[in-house]
Amino acid sequence: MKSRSLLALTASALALPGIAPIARADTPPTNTNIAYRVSSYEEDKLPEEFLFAGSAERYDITIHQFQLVTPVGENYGLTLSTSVESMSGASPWYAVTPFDGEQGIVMSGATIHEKRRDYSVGLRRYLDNGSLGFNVGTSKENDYESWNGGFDIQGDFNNELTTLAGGVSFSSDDINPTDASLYNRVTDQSKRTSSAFISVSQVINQNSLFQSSVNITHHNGFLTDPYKLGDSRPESRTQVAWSNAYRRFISDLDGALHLDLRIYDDDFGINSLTFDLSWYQNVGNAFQVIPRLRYYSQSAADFFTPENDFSGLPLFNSSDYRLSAYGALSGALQVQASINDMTISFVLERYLSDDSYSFYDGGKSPAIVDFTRVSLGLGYSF
Amino acid sequence: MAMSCSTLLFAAEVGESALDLSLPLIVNQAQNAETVSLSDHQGKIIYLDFWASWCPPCLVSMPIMNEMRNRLQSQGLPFEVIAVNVDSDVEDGMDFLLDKPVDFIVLTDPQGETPARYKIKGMPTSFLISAAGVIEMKHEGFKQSDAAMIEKEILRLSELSQ
Amino acid sequence: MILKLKLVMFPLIAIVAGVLAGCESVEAWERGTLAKPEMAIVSDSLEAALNDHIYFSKEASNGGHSATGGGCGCN
Repeated sequence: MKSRSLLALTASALALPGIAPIARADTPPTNTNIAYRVSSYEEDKLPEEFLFAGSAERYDITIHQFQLVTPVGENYGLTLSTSVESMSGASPWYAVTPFDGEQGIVMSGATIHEKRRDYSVGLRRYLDNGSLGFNVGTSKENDYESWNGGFDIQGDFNNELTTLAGGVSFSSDDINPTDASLYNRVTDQSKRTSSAFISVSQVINQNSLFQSSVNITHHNGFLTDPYKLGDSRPESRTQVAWSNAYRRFISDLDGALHLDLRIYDDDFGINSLTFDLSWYQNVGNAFQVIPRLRYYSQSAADFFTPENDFSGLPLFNSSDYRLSAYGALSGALQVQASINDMTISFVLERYLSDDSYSFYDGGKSPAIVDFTRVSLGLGYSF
Repeated sequence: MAMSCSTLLFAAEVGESALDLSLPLIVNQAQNAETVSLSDHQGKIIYLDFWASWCPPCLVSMPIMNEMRNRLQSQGLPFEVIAVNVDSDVEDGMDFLLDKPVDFIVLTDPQGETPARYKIKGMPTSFLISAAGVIEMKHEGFKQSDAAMIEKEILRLSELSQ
Repeated sequence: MILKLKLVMFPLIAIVAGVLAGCESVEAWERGTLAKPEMAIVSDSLEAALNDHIYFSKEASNGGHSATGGGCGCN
């Protein structure tokens, strides 16, 4: 039996505004930059005491990312991105309470390899005091196809010390679950997403700056996970995220502090807090060591239940661990070397989740994941 | 070239006399470098450029202006480029020049006094100063296509002073 | 929004207001530090895209400082 939920990579660099250093005049790239990254993501096995049936082996994913950023003429920048990912592993199928009262997760069986590819193109037009960006992209896998496009605008004010940005994007997805007739799954579903953001960036002094953004997203259509038995979710979802970023350079230490805080709310009943702390330590002229800590805490969805309710009485029901109340702590270390026009980077991350890490009460799931991620990146500028 | 010795804070605008400056050469600044003044080069058309190693359009302009300066000088034009590096750490400016050396005059002003006197609003900012010491052009930013426009202005100014 | 988030939000707004009130005017030639790659909001775009995506697939939250990208069958 197959299992789904491929990790996916989206968004070209241009869909992440604020990627250009704020204090510089908005200028097109002066060099061409190519970057490649390969990552290996492995989830820990489901603890035996929670496994009711199926395979305890969870996801193993390999992702290749490619990106090219290049000037086009004197006023444009072009970004081309693509990624390929292959994945194998099992995922939770449904949850039961076995005879002895312990929560039991029924996992899918072991899987075959799945592949997902995505492509995106972004074009940025630079003006005297700002820029306009357009991007389109697509993502394809066996059972899922997505097309997306977006537009954003950035404007500099106050002698380029203040930047206002805003944008919209849309996505149209088609879902065709595999083995539909075999497992009585839906076929041929669709989902539409629209999103808008505004952000303000402000230089505080020579060594620090701040950015605050609000992002609203609305989904319409098939939001249920077709691979989870008994899963039934509303056909619409509105999400609001408020992010704040602070950057401060400490010259005595030759390093930069990054603090990020995101507050999130949606109409599934989920609230979350994300706190990110990193330190960019320069070592000599060629190296950077970047330790990072992330704390995440979320509440449970209104319709989350630790065991699936197959009675058909509740309209919406899910035992998906991703909708349960839990928290996660992750630590990462990145090491980067710049030699002439090349950069090499290496990242190791360990992510641990636990329902006790969350400051929210709510339904809990034993299927929350821990994972390890390793990445190796190469970049070249010419 | 009549230089204004005024200490009044004029914005350095087109049509005004260029304020004199006196700064050390970047290359020898470690060993008590000699200072160079604008007035040392009176009688020449001067391209005065404020640049830094962290400013990509500045770095694009350097080799382009170097080629133009060498070519016009070889044709006998009284033209010089004086580039003022404003990196707060002089080493950063010097590192760039080690990688991409230029033949024109590069001075250093890590405290930023000169760009303040010239009321610089963006990086890079360049001034074209006539042989009479008057600012004839002020240009912010730099794109490759600006070179043709700058050269045209230089030639126009050289004809005027003949 | 639940009480706990409100408790975080209001001090955060106060901090933001305080920080912005203390903003200085930084001259064009004084922006070298701000231009350092480690001072960017996003220093490594591939790393940021990867993280955004892994967390999006494993957690219920979505969005932040950017517009949405494309979809995937992963959440």
